[in-house]
Amino acid sequence: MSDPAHPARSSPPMARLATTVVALMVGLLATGPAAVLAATYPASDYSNVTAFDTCDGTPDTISRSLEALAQNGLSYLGYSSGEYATTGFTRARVLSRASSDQAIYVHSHGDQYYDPYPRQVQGFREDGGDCSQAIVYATDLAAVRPAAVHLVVMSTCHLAEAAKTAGEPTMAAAYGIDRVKYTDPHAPDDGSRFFLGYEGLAYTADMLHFEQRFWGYVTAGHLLGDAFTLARASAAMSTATVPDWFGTYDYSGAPGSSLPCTRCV
Amino acid sequence: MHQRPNLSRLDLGIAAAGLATAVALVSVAFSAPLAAPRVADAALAVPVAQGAVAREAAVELAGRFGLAGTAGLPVRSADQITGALIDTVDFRLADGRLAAEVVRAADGRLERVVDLTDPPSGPGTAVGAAGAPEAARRLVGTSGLAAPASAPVTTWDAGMDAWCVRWVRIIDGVPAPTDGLVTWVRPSGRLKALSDTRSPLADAPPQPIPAATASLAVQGYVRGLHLDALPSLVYTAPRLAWVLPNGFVDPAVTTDPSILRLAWTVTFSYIPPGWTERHTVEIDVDAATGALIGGTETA
Repeated sequence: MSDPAHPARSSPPMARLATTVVALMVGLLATGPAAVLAATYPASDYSNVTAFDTCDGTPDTISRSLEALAQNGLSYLGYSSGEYATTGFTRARVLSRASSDQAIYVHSHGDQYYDPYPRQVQGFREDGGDCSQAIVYATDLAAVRPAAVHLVVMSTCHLAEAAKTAGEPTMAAAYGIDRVKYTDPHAPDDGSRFFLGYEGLAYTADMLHFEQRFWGYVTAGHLLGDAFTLARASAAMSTATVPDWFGTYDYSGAPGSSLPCTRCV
Repeated sequence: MHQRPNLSRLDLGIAAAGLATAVALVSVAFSAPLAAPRVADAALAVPVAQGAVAREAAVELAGRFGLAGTAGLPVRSADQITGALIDTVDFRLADGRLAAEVVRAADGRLERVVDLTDPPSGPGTAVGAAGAPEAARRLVGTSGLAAPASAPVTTWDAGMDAWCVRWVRIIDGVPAPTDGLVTWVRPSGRLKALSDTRSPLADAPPQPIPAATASLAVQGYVRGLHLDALPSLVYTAPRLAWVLPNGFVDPAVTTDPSILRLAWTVTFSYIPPGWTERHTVEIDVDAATGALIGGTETA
C-alpha cells in the first residue's frame, strides 16, 4: 500500500480515473462474466431422479430432461446454476444454498404434507440417492431465506396451491414471492420476482411438454409472463396438469435489472 | 516533491478509447447470455408471396379479434418440439412490446392466436363458467374454425386468468387427450388464446388388439419391475386413446414422438415402499403391435 504523503507516482485525475476503470474492466474481462455472475447470481437446479426411477420402480428419463432444460434456461438468463440430483440433492444442501440462491428449480414430489397431522405444510422431497427422501418444508425455507429470490420453478404437484392450513407459508411465500399476479411493471415486489408451479396432480409427460415450451420461449427472449402464456397455448398437455404462476408478468427473468429483454424492444 | 507526468492529448485519447473499448467489450460479454433469440437461429425463409398472404391473413384475423399492435413479417421456423414448419406473425405495440401472436401451419391452417396484452378495457360481457362454452364457440367462429357440436370441458385456468374451454380431439370416436381445440376466454368474454392442435396420425390398425391383451402386456411390465408384490397395486380398465409416444418405458424408443398412435392406456397405482401417497402410472400400449410406446406418472 502506498503512503499517501509520499505517492510513488501520480497522474492527472482524468487519466487516473480512466486507467483505474480500464484496469477494472480488463480485470472483469479476464475473469469472464460467468465468474462474476457466479459470485453475484447463484442458482440451484435440483432434480429428484431416484424417486421417479428406483423408488417407484419404473424407469425414468424425464427428470434428467427437465433438469437439463432448467439448467439451460437459468444459464441463458445469467444465473450461475449448480445442478444437483441423486446424492447431491439433499435437504441439507437445499437449506444451505437457500440463503444465497437467486433462482431455484426443483423437480420432485411436492405436496401439502402433514407436519404433524392435521397441520399441512407445503414441501418437496429431497432425492438423496435413496428412497427415504426427507421433506424440505416451506417453513424450513422461510426460516433461512434472508430476502426474496428472483425466479422459482417448482416442477412438482400441488405447490402452486394456496395453503390448506391457514397461516402456513406457501412455497412461493417461502421464497419471498406473493401469490399474486402483477401485470403492472411497478409491482410492489420491484418487478423482478416470478414463481411457476402446478396446481393439483401434475403428470411428468405433460410437465416435460410444458416446460420444454416455457424454457424455449424464455431462451428466445420472451418475458416470463409471455413465455408462460405462449407455452400454455402451445404445449400438448392433457387437462389433468395445470401450471400457474405468481409475481410480475413482465419480468424478464434476468437477475440484473438492467439486462435486456430481447423480444420486447 | 514529485512532478506530474506530462500526459499529452494523445495519451488521454488512448485512455478514453481504451475505456470505451473495455466498456463495449464488458457490455457485450455481460449481455451475451441474453443475445440472439433462438427462434431467429431457426428462422427459415418464407417465400415472398406466401409471406405476404400469411401476414395479410394474420392482420385480418387480428382485426376480427380486435388485437392490438402492428403486424411484423411472418417468420417461418420449425416447431421446437414437433419439427413441423410454422409461420408466426408477431404484433407489437409502439414501444416494441409483443402484443399478440398468430401461428399458422405452413399449409395455412390456423394453429393458434394469443393475445398477450393486459386485460383489455374494450367492451365485453361478463362471462362465468356457464357462459364460457358459448363465448368460446363465438370466438372459435370468429377465428374461422368450427367448434364441434359436442359439449366442451370448461375449467377456470388461473395461470391464464381465463376460462379454459376444451374440445378434446376425437378421431373415429376415440379421444386424443393432448390434441384439440382449446379456447381461453377472459371473464370479459374476449379472447385470451385459441389453439387448435392436430398432430399427424399414424395409420390405425384395422382392428385394435383386445383390451385384455394390453392389460396383460402392462401386467408383464409391472411384474418385470417387481411391483406386483405390492398389496396396494390396483389397475383401472384400459381405455383407447390416440397418444404421443415417449421414452417413459424405453428411453431408446424410436417411435416418432410427434405422431399420434392408437393405443390402450392402462393405468395402475400403488404405494411405493416407505411412501404414504399413492403413485399413479399410465402406460400406453400400441393398439396395432402391442408394444409399450410410452407413459407418464404423477409427480
